[in-house]
Amino acid sequence: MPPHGWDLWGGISKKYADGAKGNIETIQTAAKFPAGGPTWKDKEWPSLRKNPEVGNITIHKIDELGNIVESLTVDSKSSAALTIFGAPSL
Amino acid sequence: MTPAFSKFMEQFRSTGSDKAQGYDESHFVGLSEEEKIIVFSCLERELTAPGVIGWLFLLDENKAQSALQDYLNSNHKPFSGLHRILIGLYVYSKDERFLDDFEYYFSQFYEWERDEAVQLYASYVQSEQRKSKFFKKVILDEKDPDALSSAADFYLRLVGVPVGAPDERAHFFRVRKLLESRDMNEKREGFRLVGAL
Repeated sequence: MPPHGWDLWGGISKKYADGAKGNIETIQTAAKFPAGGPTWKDKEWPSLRKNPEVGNITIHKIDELGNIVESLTVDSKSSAALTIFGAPSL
Repeated sequence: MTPAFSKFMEQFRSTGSDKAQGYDESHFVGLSEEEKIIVFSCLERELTAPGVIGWLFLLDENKAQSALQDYLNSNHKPFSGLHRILIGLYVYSKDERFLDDFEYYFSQFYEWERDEAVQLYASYVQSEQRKSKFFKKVILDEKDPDALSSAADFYLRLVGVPVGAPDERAHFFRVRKLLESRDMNEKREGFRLVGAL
């Protein structure tokens, strides 16, 4: 059985996260800031958390015009990051 | 038609990477009672996809529990998304029999779902003793490297291995690497270093 479409896209995103190094910057829409949607919460963030090469994660909140209206930086290995990004989506 | 409903329908009908962005509060806040029924019915068709079960429970907890239980009873196990359904039913019923089933079926979950399954277990199961036992079993038996590293990572955090300062971080990842090893002697050394042997 092939992966569900969402799992397939999540797998592609995870591959990028697996190869990440240093500090990471990401953008989220206002509705998903700061925790993110399923692809971020379930695939990208867990991969970045486990990746020893990754330091801080900065999440930028953007408005509908694409302007950054707020930013938040967190250590990817900290318990604060686990709190901010929360549990994977059910 | 409320703005939330048109936004929901747009996301529901989307495809590819747009679909993978999933739903957020803006798709649900302000829905009329009639719209909630339609939205529930749409989401039921995506029951096993990530990021759907939580919204079903938000819309109608009793109906969601019945929908998940019906799906569980009427499909041959294991099926894709079984891990989400079992954890969802556990979260909302607190019935540990769903965790028994989750642990029983874990090795049969699809390869691309087992890492997420470990993360769901780590996030939603309340008993630390049960989590510790489960993570140890995954560390000893699991072949998928992502699921194995998640189990090792959560296990070390659970037993209190610090990961904050740079020297702590180096130690944390050294022990995690031992737990992730295919060599049983290295695994044992990893467990010994955290006082688990």
